[in-house]
Amino acid sequence: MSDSLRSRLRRQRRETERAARPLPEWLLSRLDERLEDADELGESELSIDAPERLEEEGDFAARIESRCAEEPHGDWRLEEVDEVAPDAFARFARDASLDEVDLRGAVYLDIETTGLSGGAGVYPFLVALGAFAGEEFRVWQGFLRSPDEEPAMLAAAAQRIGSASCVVSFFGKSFDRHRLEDKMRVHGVDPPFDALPHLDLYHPCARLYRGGLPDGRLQTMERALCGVRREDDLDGAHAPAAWFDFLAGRAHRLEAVFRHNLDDVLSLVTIAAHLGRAPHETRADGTPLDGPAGMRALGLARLAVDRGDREAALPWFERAIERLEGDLRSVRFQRAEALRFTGEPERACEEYAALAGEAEDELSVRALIELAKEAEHRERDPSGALDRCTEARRTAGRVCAGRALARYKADLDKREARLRARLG
Amino acid sequence: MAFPGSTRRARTRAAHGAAGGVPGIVAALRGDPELAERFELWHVEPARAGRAAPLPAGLHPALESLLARHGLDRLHEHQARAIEHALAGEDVLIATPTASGKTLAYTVPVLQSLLESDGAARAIWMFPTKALSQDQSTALNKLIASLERDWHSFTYDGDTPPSVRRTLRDRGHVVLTNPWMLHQGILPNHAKWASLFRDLRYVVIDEVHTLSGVFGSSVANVLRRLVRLARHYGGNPRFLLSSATVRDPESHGRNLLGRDVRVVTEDASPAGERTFGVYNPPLLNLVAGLRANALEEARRLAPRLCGPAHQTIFFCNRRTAVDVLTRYLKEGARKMGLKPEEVRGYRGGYLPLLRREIEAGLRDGSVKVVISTNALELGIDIGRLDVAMLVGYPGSQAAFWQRAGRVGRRGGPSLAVMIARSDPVDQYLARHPEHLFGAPREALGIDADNLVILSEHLKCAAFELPFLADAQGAVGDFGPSEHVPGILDYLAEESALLHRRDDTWYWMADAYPAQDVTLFGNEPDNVLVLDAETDKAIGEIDREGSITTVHEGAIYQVEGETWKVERFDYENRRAYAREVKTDYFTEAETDTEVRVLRLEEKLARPGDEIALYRGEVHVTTVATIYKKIRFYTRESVGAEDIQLPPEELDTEAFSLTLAPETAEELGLHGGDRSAGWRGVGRLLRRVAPLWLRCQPSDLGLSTEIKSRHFDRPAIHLYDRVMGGVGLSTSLFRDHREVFAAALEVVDACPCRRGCPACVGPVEEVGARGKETAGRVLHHLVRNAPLEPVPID
Repeated sequence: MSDSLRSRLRRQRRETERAARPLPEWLLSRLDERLEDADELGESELSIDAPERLEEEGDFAARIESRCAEEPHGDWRLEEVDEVAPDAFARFARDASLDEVDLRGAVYLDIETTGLSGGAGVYPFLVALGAFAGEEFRVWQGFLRSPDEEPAMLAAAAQRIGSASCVVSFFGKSFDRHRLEDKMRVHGVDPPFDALPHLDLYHPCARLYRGGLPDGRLQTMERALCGVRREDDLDGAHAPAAWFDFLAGRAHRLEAVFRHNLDDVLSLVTIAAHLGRAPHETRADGTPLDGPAGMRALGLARLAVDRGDREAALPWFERAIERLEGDLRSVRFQRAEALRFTGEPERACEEYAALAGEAEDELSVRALIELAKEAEHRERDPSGALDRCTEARRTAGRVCAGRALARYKADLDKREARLRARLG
Repeated sequence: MAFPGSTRRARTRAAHGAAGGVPGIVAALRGDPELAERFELWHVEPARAGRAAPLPAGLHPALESLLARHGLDRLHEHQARAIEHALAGEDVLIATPTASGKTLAYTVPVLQSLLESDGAARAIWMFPTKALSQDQSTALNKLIASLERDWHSFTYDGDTPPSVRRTLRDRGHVVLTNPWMLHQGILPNHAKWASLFRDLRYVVIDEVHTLSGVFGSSVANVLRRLVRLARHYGGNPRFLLSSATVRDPESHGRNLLGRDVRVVTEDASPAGERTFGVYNPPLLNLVAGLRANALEEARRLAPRLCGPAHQTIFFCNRRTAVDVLTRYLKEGARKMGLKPEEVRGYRGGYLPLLRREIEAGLRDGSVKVVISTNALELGIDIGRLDVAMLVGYPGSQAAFWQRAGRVGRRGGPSLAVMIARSDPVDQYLARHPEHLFGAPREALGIDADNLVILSEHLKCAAFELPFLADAQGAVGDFGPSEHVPGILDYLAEESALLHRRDDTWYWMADAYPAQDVTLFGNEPDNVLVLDAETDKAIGEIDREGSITTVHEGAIYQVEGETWKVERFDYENRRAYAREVKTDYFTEAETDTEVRVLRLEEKLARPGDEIALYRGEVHVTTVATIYKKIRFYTRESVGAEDIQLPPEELDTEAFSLTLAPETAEELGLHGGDRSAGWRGVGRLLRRVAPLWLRCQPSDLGLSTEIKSRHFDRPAIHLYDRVMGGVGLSTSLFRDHREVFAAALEVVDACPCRRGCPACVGPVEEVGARGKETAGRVLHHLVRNAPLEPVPID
């Protein structure tokens, strides 16, 4: 190999190290913290032991961790999955196949990979599958001691997943599942996922709590909802480097990866248990649920609206307004809408009038338009409606611009023309 | 799709049905005394009867009846032969002119494989440009639909919405795509395409003559990766290639695929009489040799070439020219008996829907005149037209014939006229038009084992599947280069990208290498042009062209409408424009500078009488000013500065310098004589690709009569790609052969004072250019070899 090629390759290496690969947008919101440079890792906090208790399983190895189902993980016991509201997940996850989901028969899945990009060069080097077995919760952690063990390990993982009644994961519908499926296909292993319901806790968590927490990550959720406090947790972003080090004969960070991965799986169980109790807002023993209760109420209200059940939404809106602080105008607007369609238009109009009167913003414009509609159709008061329209137009002119303004104007033009025609 | 059956459809105002038609146009042009002396040449190729052949034996009955329904119970002989070779399991390259029915020749084997396997077989169709595949997909789907099976073809490219990609992956039998998508999207994610690779019977690649030089060498490596993956899943695809007529297609096919291909070159389709005219605009200024503007001449000739009874295509070499001529011809449409909407512009930057509409209009005959860049040079199906006008020589014989090949219906007469510009090459061809009609002389270079390109693609390939060494330590599935194991070891030990375990290299890094590896072609890194009012896209333009077309103040034209660019957001690749009425358009000028950063190696004679260097340079191209030019009169109505960051290129260069005394002795002075030095540079750039197996366009050239860095005459030849790919390093190594070859060209060339085939036409190198260049080359070759000298 010539010298110039050597220097050229060396330069490429520097470039590869320098230029952080752009990640897909959808991952960023979940993974903000994972983007740190691996070099910043403080090694002192980490184990320096090689992974122990690995059991040979044919052509690869696995570790099995057992926890008693009564054992707590954070503030919750694993067995509390038995207490969930039966239809909670179908509603939260908007997936009918999750009706009557059997959390006892599920497999809880979390994997560690060598990268987030996807593609054939990414290795799922640690695959954790948790499942209840009688009074125990067992976590099987399939591990690659070398990249050539991948086919055997994935075949075993596929078999374990395939024998469960459903899959529970956090963001796994978008990530873990695809990394496994891709590599299974490369090795001619049939992926087991198509036949199984998949409960991805990320989305229900986001729908209920996202606005009330700094981000939507698993670690944030487990802390806020289940009281999990991890000690010396390894940042997931350092997992690839830990495995690369292990392959190069330095196993010092690997134990931390196993522990991190195990904690993730245990949290899947308790977060699922928590979410399943959200409609009751209490645990089975009657103690109230942790987590931002105002956001939860608002989330439950919106979910009810989404499935067309405004009746059910109304009390949740009331609670959200009671519990939340700060600017509630938009929540009040939504509550007014729910009132209007559940036989209480007068109360709705009071709220609209209050919203229009107390401030001047886009919401006032919308409230005025709603009032105009009510005046026109219910109160049969075209001239009152026209007044509202005039007011809405004036406000819009002051607080809106660009396309929004154009949209309101077009709407008002039509409405006013109709009203004028009616008035003669 | 150039499907012979489809060109037979009735056209109400077909050329030969109208009074006079093409023969009438030719007769009128030839009979006009004013024009007679401007046409430097008339060349007529007589009508040719085609040679038909029966359908190859063994075709599936459903396919036979499909062909029969299209009136294709007999094929052109070359189609039949290509199909037979393909069905016999050979890789085939069909190198025949545009619209000779190449598409049919590779469609039949693909459909046959689908029918034989009852829909299990898969195929990839790759097009070297983005624009092509939509059109082909539509046509192919129609054919497949008429087989009445639940089979599908689809386009998978950057425009495919992520939401439908999965469905397409699962349901597509034929995937139409481009090299970039294959490189960055499909191959690295091959698991998602496992069934495609497992059942992959054919890889069809269209227009392979565009796959040459650094781009072609990169694509050859992409194909190595593709074959490797197919084999992993148990597939073993055959290649069906199509190409324009090129020199030595056998070598080109072998260089691209790494194996021998069966070549079919004889066009057996029937052709009507074809008339070619080479037109030289009148001299405006005898002393300066200045001729009338070619675009203006095209406008003046247009009424004689355009009309309601036939279809005419104009080819321009620049986007601005297309837009200006479109405006002229739309405005003059009535006088030609046309409606303005029957005259259309067409170029790459138009949005896909608009392009589809124009293509359809050309096919169904409702568009009578189209003005295009090279965007219509490649195989987009617009049927065959009647008259072509080439405003300027397109730069290569292959492109000339591709453009001229757009005209000539089955058995009908056609006309192609080339207008020479004042450009020296055009003027030379105007005087020696026989150059145009000889055998193709341009070689297509591919070097798939270029070490930089190879190592880049080894990274990508290692990401896709581990590499395995055999008992001798060799790697068998990535070409013949002996360097492969060494590069892999380096990537493992030094770069920490791979992990070697026993005899296997595994990708072992948190990175997606294809993202950082470029194919060096015209990559889709486009600037979007938006209506500043509505934010709606009105066009797009490639990055290189953006600095001269959508700078602030530029007039951006789409189909004769004029838009003024208000803001160019260079960082985010967006230009915002507002529609205006103007009587001018804009033309920008650029300036390129080569700065020597670091010299790495030097060869010289004592006292640096001659010195050669290899090193790193920084090349800056900056848009300097733009001129406002009035439509029609072309008078300049003002000029303004362009404020844009320069386009920068860090790359490797080969530099040649002469001591000032030597330059003096050899007759190199400033002014006219320095043109001889430029001639040497041009000649080196022309012959170097023969050694480097690249394209002349892969090398940049800068000649200085007094270099700022060296303080003497210098010629820089640099890799025209970011980072360089080792071309100038090879040039440094092989300089003796390259100099000798250059000298041989000059000595052997029968021209007296320079021509495009040697140092350049006399208009460019001056009266003594050839003589001076010859002296310089003699001096470079004659003496003792140069000695290595440490860099000071």
